[in-house]
Amino acid sequence: MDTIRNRVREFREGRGLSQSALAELAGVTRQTVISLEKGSYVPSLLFAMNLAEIFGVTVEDLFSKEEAS
Amino acid sequence: MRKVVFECVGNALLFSLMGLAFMFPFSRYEGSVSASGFSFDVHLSPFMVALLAFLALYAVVRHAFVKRNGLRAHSTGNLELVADDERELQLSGRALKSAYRVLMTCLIVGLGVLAGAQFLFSAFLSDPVAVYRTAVGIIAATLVASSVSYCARWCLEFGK
Repeated sequence: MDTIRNRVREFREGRGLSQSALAELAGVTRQTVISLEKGSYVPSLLFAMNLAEIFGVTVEDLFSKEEAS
Repeated sequence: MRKVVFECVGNALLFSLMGLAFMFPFSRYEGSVSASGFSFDVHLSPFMVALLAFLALYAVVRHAFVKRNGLRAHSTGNLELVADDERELQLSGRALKSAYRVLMTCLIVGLGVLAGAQFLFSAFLSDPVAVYRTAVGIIAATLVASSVSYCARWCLEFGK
């Protein structure tokens, strides 16, 4: 089964944001950000677009599909 | 996660006390007051007293919990179902699946136990009250098991 990889942590740390700060900006809980960065949570399209807007990048920059081998 | 654990633990305690209170509704302890021209007997089940005390205390504690955690007024009905974001909504869905499975299993097993109890008691013990107690116990146990499984699954998924 294909999975989705993300670069949320990379962009977050690049902008000097804490997980709590990002959670607040995105309107989610800190635990959601933690799960997202761990890769154990796949966000909805709306959430993904909100994150992309916060970082000033495209959704494709943030998320990529990893095909199952 | 706190609100889910709080509400589920509260519910489990409530269902347990309700089960005990309704299984043993008649007094084990009796009290009486008498004075000249006046007599008053009290028959009280300790489990019923515990249930009433818990209901009163839980209402106060729950109100304080809701206020302290800044929960929205319209979401105070079922705290365990309230989702703070989309991920918690998914968690609730998965936890509800587990609770549903436990509920169905307990009800099916309960039916079998009741049927067995009815046969056993009528054939050997002639005690219809025991069948009533068995039925109440099964319902209470089902409610407790369902609450516990919801809470456990929710917390497990939350930690992933």
